[in-house]
Amino acid sequence: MFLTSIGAGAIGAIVGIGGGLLVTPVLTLIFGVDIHLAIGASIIAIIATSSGGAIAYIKDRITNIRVGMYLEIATTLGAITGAAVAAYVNSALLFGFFGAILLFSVFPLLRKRNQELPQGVVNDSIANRLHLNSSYPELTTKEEIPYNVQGSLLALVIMYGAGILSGLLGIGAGAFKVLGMENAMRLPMKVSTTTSNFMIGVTAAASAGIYFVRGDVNPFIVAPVVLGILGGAVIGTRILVKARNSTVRTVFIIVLLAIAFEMIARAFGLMT
Amino acid sequence: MKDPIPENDKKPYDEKRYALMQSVLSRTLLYGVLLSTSIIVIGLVYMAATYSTGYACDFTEASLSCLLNYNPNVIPHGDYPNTLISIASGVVQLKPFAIIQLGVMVLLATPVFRVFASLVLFAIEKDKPFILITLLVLLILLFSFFVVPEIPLFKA
Repeated sequence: MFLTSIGAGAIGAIVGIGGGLLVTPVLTLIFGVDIHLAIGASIIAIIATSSGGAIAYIKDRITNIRVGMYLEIATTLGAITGAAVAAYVNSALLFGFFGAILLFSVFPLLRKRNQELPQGVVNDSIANRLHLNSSYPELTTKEEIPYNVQGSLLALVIMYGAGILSGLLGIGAGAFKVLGMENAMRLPMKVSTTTSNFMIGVTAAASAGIYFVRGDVNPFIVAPVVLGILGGAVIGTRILVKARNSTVRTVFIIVLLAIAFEMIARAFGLMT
Repeated sequence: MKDPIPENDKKPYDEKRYALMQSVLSRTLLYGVLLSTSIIVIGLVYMAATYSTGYACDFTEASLSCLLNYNPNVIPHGDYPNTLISIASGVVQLKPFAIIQLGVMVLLATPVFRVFASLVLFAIEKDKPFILITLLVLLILLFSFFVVPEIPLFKA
């Protein structure tokens, strides 16, 4: 359990996802943990990945704090909305629907999989007003890379959807956050994944309180998972800063496909 | 292959102050994570040393199987503390599970602390739009912690 968590923490920290969809099936399928307890543990795992990874990413100035804070309005509101309607929706249908969305969103990523940095991006009015554009130090080339931000409003809508999903299904929905920043705002890949990593902790925290009070957070499971995830996140951050944007994108595509198939499998009841 | 230069050259605040702000945020998270990890490790070591969870569901042969049990009909769904009060009373009585849960709660609080720290930093910089944005996020988070669990709709 501890070792799997290290792996999930490292992958999660690199591609900006919480690893909820990586931890949950391992706990249920291999360790035979009840699905509710597995989701409770994964919510805490998301916070561990986020806080553990963000320590290094903020210090290395890769995370765009302003973009993160701006989008968190939408993700937290979405998380509460999701928790509110959870009792009234069919989660199998949701898993199928969002699994399909993920699957289709692989195509635009595949087309630019060799692209290192986005080209020809012009700030929109929100980005200008809030100074969302920024720059980050690229360790592979030792250059300071400036970038612009577009599609700020569309990204807000996508994040609200991602928030609903995390509240509903107990996941960080990091994959959707990365997609929103990558495809709508067109940030450099590393900035997208680290800013997503920064945000998933707050989104998960917005629904974690509910899980904790319900008693879905079992210390016997959560303790080894949290320690493993934190260790893994530290390893993951060391890998990301030295990786190329296109490499991070390739890893993200693979994880995205795995998650999409898992969600679709759940929709058809092939997996609990 | 350089990107276009950003249009609004006017930075909200100068580079040095922004870097300082980032290092403060990074440290807030670091201390939170270290504190949480230490408490969880102490709880685990204490659990191993006393070979007990401190609760009815324990490592004895009769009750070992209930450690991973999930009872949908009772809240909490297992035999461990789930509220601030039950955690506090468990920690005072040195119950290992309560100590671990305290560490988990500290971890849960780190993102909230981080948002609070951002609010203070944006306020120092007098960055009005972001003071509002951060305040809003903080209010939504506090609402989700203290109000939402009280709404019957959410008690599933």
